[in-house]
Amino acid sequence: MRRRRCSARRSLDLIVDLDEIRCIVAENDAVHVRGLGTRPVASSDSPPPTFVEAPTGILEFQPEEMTVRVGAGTPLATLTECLASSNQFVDLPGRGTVGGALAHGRDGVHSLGRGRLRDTLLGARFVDGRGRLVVAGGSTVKNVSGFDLCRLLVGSRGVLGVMVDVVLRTRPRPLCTRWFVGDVATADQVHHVTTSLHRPSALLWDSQRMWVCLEGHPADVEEEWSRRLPGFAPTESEPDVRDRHRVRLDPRDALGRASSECLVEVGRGVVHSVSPIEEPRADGASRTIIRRLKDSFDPDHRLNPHLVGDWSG
Amino acid sequence: MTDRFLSDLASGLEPDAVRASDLDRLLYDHDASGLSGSLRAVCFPHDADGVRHAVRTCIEHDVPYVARGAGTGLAGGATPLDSALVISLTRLDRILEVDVADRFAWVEPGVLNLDLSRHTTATGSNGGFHFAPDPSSQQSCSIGGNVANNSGGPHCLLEGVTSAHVLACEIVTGDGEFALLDGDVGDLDLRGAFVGSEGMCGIATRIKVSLTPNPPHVATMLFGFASVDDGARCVSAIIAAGMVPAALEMMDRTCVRAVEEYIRAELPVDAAAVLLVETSGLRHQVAHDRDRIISIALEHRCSSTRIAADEAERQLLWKGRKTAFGAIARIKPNYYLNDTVVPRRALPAVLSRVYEIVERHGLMVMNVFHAGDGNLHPLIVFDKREPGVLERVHAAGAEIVRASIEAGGVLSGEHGIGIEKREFMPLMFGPDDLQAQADLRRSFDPRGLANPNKVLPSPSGCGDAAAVPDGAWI
Repeated sequence: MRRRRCSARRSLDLIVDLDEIRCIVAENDAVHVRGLGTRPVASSDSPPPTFVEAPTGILEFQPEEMTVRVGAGTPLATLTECLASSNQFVDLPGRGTVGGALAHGRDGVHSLGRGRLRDTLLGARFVDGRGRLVVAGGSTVKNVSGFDLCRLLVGSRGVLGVMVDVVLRTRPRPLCTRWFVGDVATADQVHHVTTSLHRPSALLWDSQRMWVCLEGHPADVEEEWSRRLPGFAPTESEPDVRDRHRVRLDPRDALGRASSECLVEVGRGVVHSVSPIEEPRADGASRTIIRRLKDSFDPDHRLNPHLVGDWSG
Repeated sequence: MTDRFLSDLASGLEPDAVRASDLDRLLYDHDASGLSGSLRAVCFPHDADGVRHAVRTCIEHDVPYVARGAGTGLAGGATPLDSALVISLTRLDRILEVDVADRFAWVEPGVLNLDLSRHTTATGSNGGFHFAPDPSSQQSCSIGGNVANNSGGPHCLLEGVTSAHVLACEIVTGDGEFALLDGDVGDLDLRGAFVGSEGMCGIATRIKVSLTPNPPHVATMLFGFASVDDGARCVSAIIAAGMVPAALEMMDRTCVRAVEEYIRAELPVDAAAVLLVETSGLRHQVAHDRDRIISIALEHRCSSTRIAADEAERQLLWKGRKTAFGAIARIKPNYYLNDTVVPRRALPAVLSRVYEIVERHGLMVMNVFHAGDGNLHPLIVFDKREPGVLERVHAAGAEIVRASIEAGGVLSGEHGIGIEKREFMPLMFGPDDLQAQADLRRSFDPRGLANPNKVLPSPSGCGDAAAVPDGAWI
């Protein structure tokens, strides 16, 4: 097995990067897709891996289109800084790369109001396990031209292909973002809060306290807080869900898990737990489809082979 | 063999659920595109088990099948080819569950789009909820069809298209098995891949959709412009100012005049273009956005401004937009509705090309479209009794598609590819891209019996034989 390591590039040269990525994928038995390494992926007993990294850099940002095309290896901080210059943002959580956040596929806690991460990806070019460079989607927000390969890439943890560059939908920054916290001890009270608010950005509950994020015009936020959230107080800090195990359950089941060790995203069913919780598994027919997809896009299982998933066995 | 197939099919369905008369075959050999094909029979299962039985019978007899919702598709997606079995889902029309606290509903695929919103508007406090995708056909299109086409609508500018509102789908796969595609369960988002797959990856039997709260405040504005160019530039300026209105629609003069004749709403018939803009949400945000939008429209030389004073006036303005396709019957008896998307900044240039193309072919066009999304809907009106007109319409439509792609756009924003645009797919995608899409489809349906010969041009259709119906286009 030949081992190569691509260095991250400061200036984007897509042609060179593409050739390099395709060469690495085609010539190695096992290839790990790596961003900034903020989510460790290789276990210690794995053989020394061959890494592949995506290109970096903002390729095209048109504020009036509310889209940005960016190398998948671009650090999130770089993208955030670029978009902020036009008062826009993309809600990709984490501290790594754009491609890493998409491949991981986990929403931030604001998905209730800001929408799902998976709907952010409009188009992508990726190199699959066969070494094919594939164009998926397009550069416009609305697009139903053919099958939606982009949806498969989000959350795929790199097992179908290495994202090279992506087109993302951006959003305008809300005029105001404020967090509030209050004592809420029962699921009925949680429901009362949930149904009384128009469109909260985030709702979290730990069985004793509830955190609410409201976004929009400052006067609307103030009004919603004063009229709909009696007993809630403003807070400067949002709940810290980093370093917790994250599982998505049926929203009703999730509420029952709320505790001092389990913070629940109300309405979304996401549980952030100190201890591991078993994830629901896809059914047999779905796993069959996933196995076929893996066999089509990466028949030799070269990409991130250390990961175990529905395609395995 | 045919009789055996039909008797096997009938054996697992309710009495009278299988029909194969000449009249039935005539009724179900096309969708709203007018593209017609051929079918062996049509069946009407009552429930998910009936759908699975139909699919399994097709697998056993190697017969292709086409799922059909309300038949309102405009790209031939539900047109049966190769003597397929049409599986009509109109009897699966139950709203199974509505959960206001967690803002979702489970529905069967035959539930009509607007019926769900009517049901949920009356549910819960604070004005109720609605299903956000609102295609113009929402009174008659089914949610199953919306899922198959990943449908849009005017209010998808803010809320996103159908995919953003489908949380999970129970489907019958190409293997004849039930699969629950939950976007948050399993290692790949099969739900996302299924939505918009035009019936080629299986048939949805239950759909979990998100419910959107009805906005407490709405401002609906209508601006007239002396030129289409000013109107189109105003659209870009509104978005560039950091606002995403709930809807941002444009109609050109020909369309406005036809609509005015139809609904008598005192529309500005002398304007070259009219923008219908709506902003919704909480009180202060709506007022803030409304004032900024009016200011931007004035900066772009709008010639008239009208703000809906109440819900009745708002409904009247929307009636004008949503009945535009009906209004054109006053001009010509037939129309061909195209659907492409271009970057917003390319709208003025592409609209100019649309007018030039249509004029060169001696035809008439009305533009009524989702300007905020850059989603063009040139409506070529004609009389099909005129010799040679179909060929000219066909040629003009193809040129409009090419002009949109050349401007950095895409083939379809909400109508889908179906039969209509499958031969245009190579304009956007290379051989490897198309093969990758074929790989996706084959993973769901290795036999290729689910709605074959759609979307992918031959030979990417994994063995589907190319079969455009004779004389098909309009």
